[in-house]
Amino acid sequence: MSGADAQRGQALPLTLALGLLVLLGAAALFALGRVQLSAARAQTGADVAAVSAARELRGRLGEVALAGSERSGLWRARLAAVAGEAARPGGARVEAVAFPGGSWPPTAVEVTVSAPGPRGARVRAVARAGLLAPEPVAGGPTGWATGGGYSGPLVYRDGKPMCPAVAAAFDLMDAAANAAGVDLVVVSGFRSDAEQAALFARHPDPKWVAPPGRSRHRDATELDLNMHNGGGGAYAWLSRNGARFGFVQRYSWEPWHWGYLPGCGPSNALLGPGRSSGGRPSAAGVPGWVPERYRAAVATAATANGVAPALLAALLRAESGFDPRAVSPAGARGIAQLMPATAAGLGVRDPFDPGQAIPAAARLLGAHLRAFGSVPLALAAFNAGPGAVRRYGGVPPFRETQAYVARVMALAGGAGGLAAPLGGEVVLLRAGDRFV
Amino acid sequence: MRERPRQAGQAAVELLAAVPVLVLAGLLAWQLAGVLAAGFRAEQRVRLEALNAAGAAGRTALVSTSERVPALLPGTAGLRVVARAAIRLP
Repeated sequence: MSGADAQRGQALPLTLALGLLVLLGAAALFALGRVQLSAARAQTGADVAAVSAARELRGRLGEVALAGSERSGLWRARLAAVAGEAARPGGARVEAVAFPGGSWPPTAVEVTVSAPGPRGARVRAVARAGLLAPEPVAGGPTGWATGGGYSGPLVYRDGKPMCPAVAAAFDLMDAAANAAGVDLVVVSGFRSDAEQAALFARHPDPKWVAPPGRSRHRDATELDLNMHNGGGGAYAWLSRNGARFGFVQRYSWEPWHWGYLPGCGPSNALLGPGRSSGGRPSAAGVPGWVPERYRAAVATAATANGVAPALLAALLRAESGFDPRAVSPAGARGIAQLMPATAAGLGVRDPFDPGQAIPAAARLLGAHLRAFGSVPLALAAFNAGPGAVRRYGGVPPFRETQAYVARVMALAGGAGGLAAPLGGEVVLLRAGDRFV
Repeated sequence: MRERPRQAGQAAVELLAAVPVLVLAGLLAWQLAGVLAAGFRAEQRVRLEALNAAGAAGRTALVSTSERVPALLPGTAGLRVVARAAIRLP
């Protein structure tokens, strides 16, 4: 064999090997791309499934509230069906539906889906969608109560004034009543002393009309509802379910008169001049009144611990008014008012440092929410300790704790403002690859 | 010494013959990348359209988009990637 014969064809295998290498590289990149595409498809499925489930939740929030947390399994299954319907066209399958946060009614839905990936594998994705409370005074007449009793903003339902906290609770109750075929109509709400005086002058019988200054209607927590001739089953429905929404019949001889027990609270400050521009909750659900420098910390800490950002914000506001140097007479310290022993137990070295105290408060509140499964009980545990809540089997009968729970609930706006009739929004609580 | 020009020519001819193979491999790789890119675009569009879909509250909207795959290889003209999503309307 000559030298020329031996070397002939050497370039061909080299070139073929190069071509093969290009193809192999392309195949590897394609496989990687397919995994990424499957992940994107799964995420789309999770997003639409979570938003669909949250929209269904929003539309049925009244029913969900009425059912109580003991029926959470049933509602998870119902929302899973809705989520599955949304995920299916994209080839995704719903694996799990959860209610993060532990409050009832839930204000967010977390959906886990899986979508087909390469080689028969399934790719998982998680999305969380939450309900944003609408502007409490948007889209309707508003006013400001003065002249004795309650002093603060008024919103109107059926043309009658009441404080925003009562309106929010009434909306939720009304949504639940509507689902049961009962229509609740407000025929009277807040009455100033002057209005009460005029009413008393027309009907000067203290059994039926309280003298001016003595009527509970001046507190803006009282509603007269449509009870004449049974109100189409309204009285029977309210007797069974009113308490679930915080409403009680004030006087046995007045079946139409229902009072809101948690009260108006200090929520009027929500609409006060200190409110940030628009006052609208951000996408992260942090209320507009949270100081700018704490907004990110509140959103991050709350979400990381499965707590509604509005609830954590309300707690911090009630504890310290967002003062990181606050010290209580009992020795509680910092923005979250942690006692030294509690702070040590949470691994907080400096309770005056909001960077440590806010995540610790969120961690503690999240743990209480998981332990007690209810926002009021978790708040009571935060204030009076979990031992007291267990001992009394509910919110302990301490005036301070009860006032604290009512105050934080009012500041957080409860879940009432999220009821569908007011047009609250559903938003994805995820930005990029992380929840916000 | 006389063999050298002949060998160089041989390699050049072989290299020339392999150019179509290399080009084909490159086109195939590019075509695959095009399919993936179209898939991502379709997925992105369907997600956006689904989340912004409007209509009768409580109904479920079915959204479908398709993206054209750039045709680089023969027989791939008109190839499209379809993405679908459904969502409960607000």
